[in-house]
Amino acid sequence: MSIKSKRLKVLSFGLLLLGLAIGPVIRAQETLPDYLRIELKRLEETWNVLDQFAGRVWPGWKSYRDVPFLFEYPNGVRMLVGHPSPTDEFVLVPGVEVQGKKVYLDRKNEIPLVLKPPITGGGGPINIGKEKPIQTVWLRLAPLGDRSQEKSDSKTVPGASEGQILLNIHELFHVFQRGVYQYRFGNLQYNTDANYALYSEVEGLALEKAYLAQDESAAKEALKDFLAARRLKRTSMTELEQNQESEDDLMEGTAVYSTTMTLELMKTGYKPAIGKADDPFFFGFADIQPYIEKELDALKSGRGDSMEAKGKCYQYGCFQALLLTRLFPGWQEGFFQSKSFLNGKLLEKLGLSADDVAAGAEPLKARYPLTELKAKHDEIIKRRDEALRMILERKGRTYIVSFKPTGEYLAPKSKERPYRVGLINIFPDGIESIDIRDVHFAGSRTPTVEDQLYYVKWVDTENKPLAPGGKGYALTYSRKEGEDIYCDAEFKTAGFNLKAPKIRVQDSKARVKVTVLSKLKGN
Amino acid sequence: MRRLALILILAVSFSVGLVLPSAADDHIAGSMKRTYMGRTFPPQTSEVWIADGKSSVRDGVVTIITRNDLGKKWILNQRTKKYLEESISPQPAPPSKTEKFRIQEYGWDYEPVYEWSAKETGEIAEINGLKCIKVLLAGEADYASETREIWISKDVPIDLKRYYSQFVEPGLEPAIRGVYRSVSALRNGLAVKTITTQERPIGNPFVWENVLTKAEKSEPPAGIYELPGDYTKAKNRDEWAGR
Repeated sequence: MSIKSKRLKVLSFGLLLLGLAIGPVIRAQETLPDYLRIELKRLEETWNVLDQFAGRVWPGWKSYRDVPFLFEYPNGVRMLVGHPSPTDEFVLVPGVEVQGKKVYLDRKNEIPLVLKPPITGGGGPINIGKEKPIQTVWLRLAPLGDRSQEKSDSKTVPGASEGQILLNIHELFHVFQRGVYQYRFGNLQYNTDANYALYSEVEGLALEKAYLAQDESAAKEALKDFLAARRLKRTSMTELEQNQESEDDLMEGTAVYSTTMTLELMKTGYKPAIGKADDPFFFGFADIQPYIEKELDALKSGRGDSMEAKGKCYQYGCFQALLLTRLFPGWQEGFFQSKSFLNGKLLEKLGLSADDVAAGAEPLKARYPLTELKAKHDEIIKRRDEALRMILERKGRTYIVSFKPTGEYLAPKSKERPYRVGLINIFPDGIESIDIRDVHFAGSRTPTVEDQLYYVKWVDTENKPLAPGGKGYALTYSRKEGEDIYCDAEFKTAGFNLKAPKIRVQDSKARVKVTVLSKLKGN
Repeated sequence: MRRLALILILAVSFSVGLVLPSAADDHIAGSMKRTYMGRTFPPQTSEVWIADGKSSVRDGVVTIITRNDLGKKWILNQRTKKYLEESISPQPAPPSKTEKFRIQEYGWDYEPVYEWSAKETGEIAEINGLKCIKVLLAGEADYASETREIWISKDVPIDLKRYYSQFVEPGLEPAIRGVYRSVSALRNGLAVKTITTQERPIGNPFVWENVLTKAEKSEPPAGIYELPGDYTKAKNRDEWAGR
């Protein structure tokens, strides 16, 4: 090689380095796996939608682009976008930015689990950051295929990115709310009773009636029914619980309202910023109406749930807000700052006194099928209470299976719907199965409990020996690590059979606790 | 309530008895760091004064003055200048049988009931110039677990017997009291460093690190065991907390 050509090569290499240093930011798709690249595109589209409509959805809603996002996946990968102060486990992805926002990955706990889009999920705002914690939208996502047993609606395409973009908007609205309103009462944690269930359903019926009413006076009359039913419903609630419920209506309801109003405005003209090439699961909001109808469908299907309290706030709050918008335009101005609730605003705008609301109880009898609804709710609540009593009376050896290290909430399959009390789900006839990747739990027809999102509890009332030494369980495995960790293990009791790549078994006086440590074979 | 829980942890964290003459009161100070989701919060300091039959514990804005001679304790909130008065009962009151079960509230708040075990690891280290031994406590509940890595030293100039009987043991939950009674090091020393990891049923673990910064015999500030004159009695916890 001549000196000249050597110099040329060095020069070329130097220019190449310089080019890399000052060149354009590397596009996300060149360095990130598909599921992450698509996520960033959905985030870009979220901002694009809000750029067009946020100010018209709620006065003053502007700073949504400054809100970081944290995405978590079942393979252990976490992606943080736009956070000014990431915690140490996040590493900057060099050269990858989303509209000027830096992207960080935490791959410390990554496992070789293939994630096949479409990927969906949910979450909420959390306060995170190393030096300066700030409100961040945190989403736990998983491939749609993992949740194939979940009910899908036929009106929208399952797994379409539109749904996830709307969810991003919902969570961003929560962050906006927190800038103008501080939680005063906390989340409602309330188990229903028969009276609550009855009048809660009437509330839902009245909201639908008001929403579908052709003229304003009929809508206002139905809203009076809603307020009368709410008063009757709340006889068993403490003042704090009443305030919590109203606050949940306010926070979740207006967040759902924000997406519904966005959709309504999109019908008047919307320009997508991404296309199929960016995200094969994005359809450009070509068919908006089904997304709007989903909320009314959710109101109809959810209102009759005897055991649900908190979950109704999404639609009940949304429809209160939608009706306020229809009947009293401009109501949003200063609303959060006023510390009013939606039902309080309705009272004020409708000009109703407490006596007026009390007097509204009598007409409900003629307008709604109270006797029929009462019989239905009485029966379900009675059965729930019997299930709780039964489960509390079971005495014997306690078995706990913890799935928490898998990072995946449980979705047990069962023949019957469980009875819910707080975070406890009671399966009087047992859990049929729980499947998480290579972890398989098969239950017998025996009362079993799922609790705290990640745990199964079963009490062995007979405690018959299943293995030498008189233990009520049998454990087989291919390999043991340390004192109590077993690989390729099968753990059998009279109540369930658990197969998992790696478990810990802690057998103590109080309980036998089995912790699933790995959900993938070979990990 | 969280603040009171922290004080309890503090009490247990600084547990350990050389019987020394009580020429002056015992003065113990420490600092606590909490880490959650990768963020370590700014450290909080705490201070304990102990004399025969009385103590004063300050943690952040909360101070608890215990007067065995009066059979009561005062819980002071520096921020609201309000205090709560409670009688000192040697055992926590058993739950009232007449208390009404309310289905509406059941199943939401999980309170772990730990089964505790202790292990004297045999490890020795010098921390803050003090020779320490390590004791590991592990608590296991149905849906939660907690570990406490405690480095304990006897080489501290305080009345360890008094410290344990007057300050540590009254703050121990019944479930862990047996462990303390069975492990001599826990009763006869002062925790120089404690790392507590709490794995809750849902969400990420909390980690607290308590470090002893001072243990001495000293003259206490005037009136440290008295109710300050500028505080008024709160009608309830909400008023005390300024809610």
